[in-house]
Amino acid sequence: MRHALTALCLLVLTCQWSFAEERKAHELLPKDSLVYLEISKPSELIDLVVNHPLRAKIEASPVVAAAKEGKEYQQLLAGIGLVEGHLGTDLVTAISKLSGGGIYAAFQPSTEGVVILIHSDDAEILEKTRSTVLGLAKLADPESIRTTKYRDVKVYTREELKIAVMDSWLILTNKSEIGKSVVDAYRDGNSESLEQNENFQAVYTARPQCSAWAYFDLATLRDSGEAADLFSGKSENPGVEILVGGLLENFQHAGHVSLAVSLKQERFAIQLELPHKNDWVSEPRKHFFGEDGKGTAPTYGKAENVILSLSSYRDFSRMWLHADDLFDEATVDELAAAESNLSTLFSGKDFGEEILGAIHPEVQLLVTQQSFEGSEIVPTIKLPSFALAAKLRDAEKMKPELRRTFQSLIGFLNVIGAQEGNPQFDIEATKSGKIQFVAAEYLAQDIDEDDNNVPIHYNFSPTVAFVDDTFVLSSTKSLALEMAKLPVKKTPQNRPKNVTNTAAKLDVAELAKVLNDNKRHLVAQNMLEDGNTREEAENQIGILFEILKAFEDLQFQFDVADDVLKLKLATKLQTTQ
Amino acid sequence: MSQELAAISPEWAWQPYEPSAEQPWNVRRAAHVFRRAGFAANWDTLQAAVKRDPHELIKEVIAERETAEFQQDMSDLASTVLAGGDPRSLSHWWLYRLQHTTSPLVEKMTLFWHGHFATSAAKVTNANIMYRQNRLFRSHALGDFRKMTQAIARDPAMLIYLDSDSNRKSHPNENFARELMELFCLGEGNYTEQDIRQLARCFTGWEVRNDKFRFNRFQHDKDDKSIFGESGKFTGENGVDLVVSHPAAPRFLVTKLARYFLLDEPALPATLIEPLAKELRDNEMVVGPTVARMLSSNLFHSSWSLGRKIRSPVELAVGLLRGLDGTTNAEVLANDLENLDQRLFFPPNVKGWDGGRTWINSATLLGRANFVRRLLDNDKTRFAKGKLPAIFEKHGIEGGEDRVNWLLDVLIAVEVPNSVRTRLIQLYRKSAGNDEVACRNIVHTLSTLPEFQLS
Repeated sequence: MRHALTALCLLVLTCQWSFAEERKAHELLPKDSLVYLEISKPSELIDLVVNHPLRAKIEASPVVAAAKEGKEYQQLLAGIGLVEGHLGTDLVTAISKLSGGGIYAAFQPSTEGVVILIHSDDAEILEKTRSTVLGLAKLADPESIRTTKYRDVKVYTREELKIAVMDSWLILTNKSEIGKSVVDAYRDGNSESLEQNENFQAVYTARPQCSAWAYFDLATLRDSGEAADLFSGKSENPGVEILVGGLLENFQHAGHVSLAVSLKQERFAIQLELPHKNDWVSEPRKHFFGEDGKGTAPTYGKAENVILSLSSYRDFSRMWLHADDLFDEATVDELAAAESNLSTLFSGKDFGEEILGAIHPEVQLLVTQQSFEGSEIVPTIKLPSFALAAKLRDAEKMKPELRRTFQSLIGFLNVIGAQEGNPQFDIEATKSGKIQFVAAEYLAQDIDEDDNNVPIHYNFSPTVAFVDDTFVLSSTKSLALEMAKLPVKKTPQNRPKNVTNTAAKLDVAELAKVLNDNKRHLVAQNMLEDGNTREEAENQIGILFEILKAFEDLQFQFDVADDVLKLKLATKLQTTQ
Repeated sequence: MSQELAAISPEWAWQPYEPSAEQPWNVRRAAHVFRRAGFAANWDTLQAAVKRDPHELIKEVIAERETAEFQQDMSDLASTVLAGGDPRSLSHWWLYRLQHTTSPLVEKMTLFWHGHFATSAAKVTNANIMYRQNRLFRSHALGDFRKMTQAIARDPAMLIYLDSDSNRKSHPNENFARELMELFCLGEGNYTEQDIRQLARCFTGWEVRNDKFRFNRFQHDKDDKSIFGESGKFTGENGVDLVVSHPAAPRFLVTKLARYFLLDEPALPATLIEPLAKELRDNEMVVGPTVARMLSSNLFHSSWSLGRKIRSPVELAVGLLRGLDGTTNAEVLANDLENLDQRLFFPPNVKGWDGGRTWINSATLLGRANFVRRLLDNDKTRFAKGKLPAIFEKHGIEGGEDRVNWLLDVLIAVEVPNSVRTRLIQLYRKSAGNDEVACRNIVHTLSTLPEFQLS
């Protein structure tokens, strides 16, 4: 009987332990967590980073090789060696094993507590980590560590940081309350965990496959009154409004936002998802999404040497006309003053309604590398060209108006330039095939050989071009003509369920070319700002170029669906040796 | 004090200094040479200097020129600064050059001419022409004063600054003619109002168009002019020649140079000025030999000169950095120096910075100490490529007492009382738990001493 009773007790204890062992991190974390973060397979992530071809490439670069000779790096290596000696294995293996079951974190606003849970799949390494961390901390200050117990779990405290090991879990926190709640949930189960948060559960279940995932409870943050500006729905200036006005509108209603990070050998991506309803979009904010919420970015053909392409749907006319609802008083006053000047320039026409209103909201911006090959005058600082293209609603009526305004503007700039001793524009108005254009080019002037500087002006030959109903405004004549020739993909008649509102792509190799053209100026700037010698500055700028070489491109996409907004940021990594 | 100075024998004053038991050649005197003939020297340079013959050292200081590589670097830096078009950035560029130059005396003389032929970018606004003027000063730094004055008379920055960029024969502009006599070459009392009016007629037709000098022959007054009793159909070039050839010109220039290199006040008596003025005249107004004579003289190495000048903000900042192998953000440095009333390329008026005692009052003294604290706390400021303790580690200087003594040798021109030295050592020990904080506190406290303000 005694044996049977002992066996029963052991079975109960074992079952309890097994049950506890199977608990998921979100079952241990408080229901009212404002932020939840999960890296479910850190070992895969570590393996990817350690064995990534980029790592070998970066290590092989002369700049990194030189840094490795430095005192700081040698000190770092010595420190790592000390830790590895204690752990009895290399650091990478130790971290992989220590976090084999995942790393999780949460922030609870009521206690201002942050808790990090590391789930180990190796009891030995977990114990060694604990003893190593404590050993090193005691080495620094033997009196600094206090040891207490909570429900048989030993808790080590140093200043604000509390560390505990509970079976295969390593717990780190700054607040006792949240640490205790984790232990209680682990021992007893918890009816107040994130597991019981229905909204979280719904989002968590539908989360994409990714390397790391995070959930932010926007409703709780909004109700708390914190970060009031984020939820006010107002952007203080037109630049912010154009970039994120639509998101600000959504932040006023959405209950949560989730973030997924994906790291693969050849690609790194971040995706942010936010619930959305077209009904939430107020009248002034329709400039961002369009009347039916399906405003779509245009798709243009491919140009040469593109550094950045950006296409988006933004109804500038609607934004301008609703300025009073969108911006603060000071900005509205500034816009009113600008409107007065612009109306003069456009011969009394209403700038918001008649000028911006004459342009379709689908806009494309191109930034390309500029070639100075064969140019008589090459500016000291070489800037890229940029151009903006859009369609005109009433092309035949608007073309002469825009041409005339452009010519007036150039005349005005010539007067100002003459007063300041700057070079003067020469205007050319002509046709090239179907393309009508007005281009202003700076007249070549004698550059004093003693002068160290060829003016930045020679980067520009502002041009307006028209082809059919397309209007192009460009910083250079060559880009204007190239852009005017690009085909535009027709927007489908039946609008799909998901549309791309904004898309952008940055070609890193092209960007590096422009920076390389101006490398000596980057070096000079570094010398002045950091007090470096030329050699030191060249090394630092060299690191920038090495970093750029790691990336092929950077892409951004903002998609609008009936129930969700998705922001995707992805970069293609350069994996070839 | 003026009487005592007047009693000094000119022969003794300008004879080459010979080290003696009373006036030994030591770190303090070597530091004096580098501070006055440049912007201070670091410990290695001082150590090497005391092992050398002082005359050989001074000859080398005068002969030093920037390497072609350094000049190219500076030209590249200028190109970047000018591309931005903001004349304020020129002061960042020049401060960088002052910190890193391998020819400090040339830079020191360039700064002298910048204050002498003062022109402010606040009015000129064009960075390119201000830069050209600065290059002009550098190229003539120790050279022929006559040639430099001829060049400055045609310098667009100067002509714009003095409203002389359009000078018509019907209304000759007297500004440049007046300043040429009063501030640039002769000083008050050596010319008449009539001389000014006549000289102004010589410069009619001198204009600035498209940022360049242009002679408009239709606007030049070709009639006879009478200056200093001489008559003729003088051109602008003739006018400058007449002024530079005036007997008062070498005296005027030597007096100004003596104030710059030897002592702020009192002004040297005529008995001391005259031998050097004669030498300058005999050298056909080439300045270098006169400067060399001053720097190697008994007077320069005597108590009449040691610690008898007040550091300008630029000398204070660049001297501190060069003395401690320091570097920093040139833009932040320029802005901070502006708060101490000295922004390069922006002198306050056509007379330049008054200098001397005018640099110091209760507000600027506090401002200087605060400036040093900001400089030390700036993340971009490095000493011997590291944080402040790195300079002591470089020279193997341990402990509060040695560090304080070393700093006093490198940074202070005159002896400080023992009580001050003891107080500094105690202060260091108070915060010795944090090496960097202790070092910063000491340098900052040093900067509050009256002795720190002396050059």
